[in-house]
Amino acid sequence: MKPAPFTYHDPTTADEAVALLATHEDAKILAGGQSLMPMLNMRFVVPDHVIDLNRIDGIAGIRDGGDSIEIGAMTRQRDLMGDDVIAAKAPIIPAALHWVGHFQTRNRGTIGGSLCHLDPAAELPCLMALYDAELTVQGPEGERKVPFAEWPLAYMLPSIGPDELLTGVSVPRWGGNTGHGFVEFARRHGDFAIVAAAALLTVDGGKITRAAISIGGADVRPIRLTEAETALVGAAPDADAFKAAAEIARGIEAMSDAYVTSAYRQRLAATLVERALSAAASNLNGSA
Amino acid sequence: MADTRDIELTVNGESHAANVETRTSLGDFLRHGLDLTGTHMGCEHGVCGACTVLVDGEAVRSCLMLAVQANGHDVTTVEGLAEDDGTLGALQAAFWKHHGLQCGFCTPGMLTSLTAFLRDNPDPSERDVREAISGNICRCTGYQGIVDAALDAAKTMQQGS
Amino acid sequence: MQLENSFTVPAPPDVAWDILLDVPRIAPCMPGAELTETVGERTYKGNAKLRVGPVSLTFSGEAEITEIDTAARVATVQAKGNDTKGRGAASATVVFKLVADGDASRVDITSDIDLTGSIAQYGRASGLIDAIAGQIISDFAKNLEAEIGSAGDGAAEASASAAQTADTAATPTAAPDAAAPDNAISGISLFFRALWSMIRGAFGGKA
Repeated sequence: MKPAPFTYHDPTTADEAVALLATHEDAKILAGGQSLMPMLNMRFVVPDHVIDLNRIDGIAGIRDGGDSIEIGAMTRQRDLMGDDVIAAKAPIIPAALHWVGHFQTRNRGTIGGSLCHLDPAAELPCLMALYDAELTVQGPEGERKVPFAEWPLAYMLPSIGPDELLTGVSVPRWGGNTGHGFVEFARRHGDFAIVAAAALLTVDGGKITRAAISIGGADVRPIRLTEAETALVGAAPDADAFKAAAEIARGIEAMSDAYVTSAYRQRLAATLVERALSAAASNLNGSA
Repeated sequence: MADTRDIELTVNGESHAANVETRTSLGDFLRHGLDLTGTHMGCEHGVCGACTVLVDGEAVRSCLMLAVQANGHDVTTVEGLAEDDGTLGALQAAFWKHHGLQCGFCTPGMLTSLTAFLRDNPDPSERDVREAISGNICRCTGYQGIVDAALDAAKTMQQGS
Repeated sequence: MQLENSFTVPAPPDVAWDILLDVPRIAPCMPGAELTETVGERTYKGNAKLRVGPVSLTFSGEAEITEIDTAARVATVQAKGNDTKGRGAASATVVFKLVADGDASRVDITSDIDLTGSIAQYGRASGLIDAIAGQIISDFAKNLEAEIGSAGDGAAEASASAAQTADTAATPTAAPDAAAPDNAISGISLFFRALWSMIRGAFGGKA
């Protein structure tokens, strides 16, 4: 249970990291280490090179961008939970982070690492899907932006080249009279979600004017329930509307594995979507 | 040829310099490099919590950090929680009083995790404590003694005694 | 585990048969594959790289065409390789059968694959292997089509780009441009389309 030998690099700039990635074919990036280190320890991955990002300045931090929140990829999950700007402008993020691992893992784990590791059950990708966040990727040719919808390519495979680095995430602010709900089901607190549902609702004059629903854990990528979102707009935020959304959630195509059938995931999705929407309707607070 | 690096770090208030293989975890370095065997390696994939130490005051899994990543940082292990003269800290004394340990394997991780938690949450509810230790697995105690100890220690520390 | 796949070659059976038996010519069309040595008349050594989620696997081994039935256009290949990082080994018996399909030829492939070592866990996710195999073959067919189409010229380009291994996705910026059937595209498509088409994989639990 010890890693196989590798050559360790700790660049101090993002450019240096990109150059290292371009030079070394068999390299893995070390961010928070909470996903990579277990894989290294079990020799599940056996890279020749490990490129540690922890000494790089400038790719961590949270900045209020007015209409958006700009988050550096190396921002620790703990810092996302304790940040005032995020608490005010995207409170679903700290709410969901309570479900991410344990406080010891959140002290090291990063948002960038979670988005690049792209575990189907991970909460942060589910939230970035919810917000249609925009990711900034740096490569040898410069920077490019990736809308989150295009980010997951396949099972645990993001849309990033072998010589590229995720440097930041931009989360658009919803504003208005908006509420949020995040509900997850796992066997034990801190376990990976079997299914998670995230919802944002904006209500104006007693009617829903904007809705977003994201389901995690059901498929290899978070599922945006666009059909339900469209149906909710113009409806009153009541139990019937949420039940209808839940029925749409029940119809998603869901993964099956040794532990949980797709039918069970569909049932969970329906229940959790309903609960997330109810929660969102009950905490409309003019900020999120 | 193994890939090694020179590192310097402070552990329990003392400076140490060493040359380590880059693949060595912080936990293994503390145990084998510095003979601080209080930190225990239970699972080596971050779920059991027995390896938890404080790095710059924050509770982290020493099995999921490389020793080289601790270069220039401040580490506190269970061995660093007592007073200089060996008197048990408030949390340790409470564990003793409330039978918060039996075999002792999870205990170092419990103590370091709770040290950080109580520092940041000086007046927790029982539920808060249970959530705080949800990342530390104990096979012996059933957790009640640990929870009682944490709540008692919180009271003691609040009273400043 | 048993797999069944097929692909189409844009050439009549006689022509296709000869092409397919010309291993050094077609090896570069296989994404992630690299032919390193021709050992005997029908034995070849090489490497194959592929990626499953966060894990890159490189197999190094050999393949031998053990039976050729020219009349029936059936060939059997025995292949075996070890993961170069010691995580296990794979061995396969693959039977290729070529039949006429209009002006073209269809190749039906039946594979019997054994995995040993820690990589054997992927065998449980047989849908995943299925999809990866399906994608490899689909990319191979596309590359082969281009190779045959461009006769001699295509070969050099296809082999140059095929030598880029498919261990991680190449720059996936815009939609892959239709220009070349080369492996910059197959690099990504190998992984992502394979896994997407599988979708309901059996790869449960956590990494």
